[in-house]
Amino acid sequence: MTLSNKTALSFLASAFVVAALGGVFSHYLLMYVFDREATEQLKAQQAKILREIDKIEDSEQKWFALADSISIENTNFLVKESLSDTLLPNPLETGEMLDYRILIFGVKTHTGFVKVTISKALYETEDLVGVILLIFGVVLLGLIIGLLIINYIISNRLWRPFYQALQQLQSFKIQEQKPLSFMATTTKEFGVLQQNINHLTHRIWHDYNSLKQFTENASHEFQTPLAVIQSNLEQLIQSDNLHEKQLTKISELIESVRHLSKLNQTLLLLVKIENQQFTEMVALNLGDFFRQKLQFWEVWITHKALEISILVDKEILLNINPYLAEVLLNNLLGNAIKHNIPRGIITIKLTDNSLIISNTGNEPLQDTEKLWQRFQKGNHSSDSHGLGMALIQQICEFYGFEAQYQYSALLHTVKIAWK
Amino acid sequence: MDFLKSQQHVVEWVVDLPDAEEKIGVYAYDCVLVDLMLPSGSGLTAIKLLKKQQPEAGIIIISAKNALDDKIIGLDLGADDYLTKPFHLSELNARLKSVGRRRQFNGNTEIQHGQIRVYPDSFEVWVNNNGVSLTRKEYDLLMYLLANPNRILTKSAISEHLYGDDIDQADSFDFLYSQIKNLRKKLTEQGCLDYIQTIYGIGYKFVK
Repeated sequence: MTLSNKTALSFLASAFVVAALGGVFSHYLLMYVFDREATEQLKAQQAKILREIDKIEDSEQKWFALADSISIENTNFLVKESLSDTLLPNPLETGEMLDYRILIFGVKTHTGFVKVTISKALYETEDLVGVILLIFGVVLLGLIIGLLIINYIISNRLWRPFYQALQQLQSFKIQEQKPLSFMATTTKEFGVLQQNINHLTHRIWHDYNSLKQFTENASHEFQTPLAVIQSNLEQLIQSDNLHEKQLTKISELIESVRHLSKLNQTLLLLVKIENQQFTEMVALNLGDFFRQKLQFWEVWITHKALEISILVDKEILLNINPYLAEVLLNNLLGNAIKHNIPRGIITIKLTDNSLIISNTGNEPLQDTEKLWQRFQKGNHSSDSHGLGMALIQQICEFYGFEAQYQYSALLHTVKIAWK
Repeated sequence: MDFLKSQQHVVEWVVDLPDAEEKIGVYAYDCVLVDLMLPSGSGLTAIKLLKKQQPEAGIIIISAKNALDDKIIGLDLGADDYLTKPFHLSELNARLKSVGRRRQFNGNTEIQHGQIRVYPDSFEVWVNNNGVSLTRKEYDLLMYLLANPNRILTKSAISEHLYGDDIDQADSFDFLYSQIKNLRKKLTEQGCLDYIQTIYGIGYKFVK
């Protein structure tokens, strides 16, 4: 829900509560006021009658001149005063009953006692209250609509710098280091916001650049001495006067240097993925890519006499960086081949939203949960650096894929699900 | 340097971009190795200059960056090959020879080693005038050995050249062993001397 919708909604809700409460309150207030008014009118008429009683001669006409609706009755005692509400039939419409207030009191005239009944219709009051409340409601509704429109216009104009800043943030890419441009604003809060966003983005760029630079420098600075060591050792091993023992030692050194540099490269690759330095994307046909990769590994597959089956439900195009896709598939296939048994089986299954690779192999030596961690080797004697699974996971994390590993019924299965 | 000289090359060496630009301006080279990260600028500048002034010179890029974009930019500029540090010297040797062949003889060449003759442009291998049919990998292996005669080649250097470095060493050594065995068999079957000398636990040497 957008900000303006939210304010409008809470505004509407409070307006309705206020209108409802106000309506009920004014209804009762008006009813009370009119009620008292009716009684007072009756009292005033009574007072007028009492004032004029002496001038009244014993004639009906004179009595009627004193009040609107009056009836008199001769009694032989003084009737006690009483005020009551009652229903009387409507004189215009038969069968309908209407509300009346009746004041009964007795007076003493020179001819004797008279019981006077004066009445006032109350239904008029109700109609009046209804009309007043209707007017009240219409005015309030108009006011709310008007305020909503004004609020909408004002908040649109007022919040524009905020929305513009938000848009800038959404299109922010760490790799594209072009400064964000904000619209000028006189609102203090937005000014502070823009300043802080600017400050933050510059800080992020700075950190990103220094990290990237470190990655590159570290890569370069480590690889050069490693290259020097390696080439010198390779020169050394060509010397004519070496014993077999010395040769073996040197070749061991060459192996260690090679291992170290591979380790360094893989760690740097992990850092680069973490740094999101692989942004180029292509739509890759996974099935084709797999078949292509299988050709590359073919010599090992035949060497180990592995049986490979590839099941493709549908040709799938996955948006992925081509280099990372290669690393991912090489690691997946490499693992499946490496940790396989001679004459084993590899099954590759591609569905709409997942890739499942299972291979036969020896039972894992360790907790399969730990397999995703760095430097965890399934087989300690192997020469692998224990970063393959970490690489797979890092790439999956980078693209928001879900990677699972499980071992059951002599099968190692890695499942990668996307979407 | 020492290695390249030992391979009977005439070598000159500079450490920064201005020196490189000066040398490129003055001398003609068969092949230039360019490190992309030079103290005073990118090696890519040197490649551009080379392409302009000495289009016939072979170029091999050497870099610690195995980032893909550098590689692509370099090769787009017209470099012949790309090596990532650290590399095996025998690998450099093989690449140099391959670039040299492509550049100097326009592919019109044959390689002779004892009784073995190889025509790289048609992938033909002859022993004593008999054709030998090799698999792709066996051919690659033979070419690698031919490029590095009389040198001890470690198993890892050969296997990296042949299979890349994605496979487990133990597996590839195992595989290398059987491919060497096959190659040796195919060559000696045609009456070829066994030039492949095994250096136990370390690797192989291709002798004359």
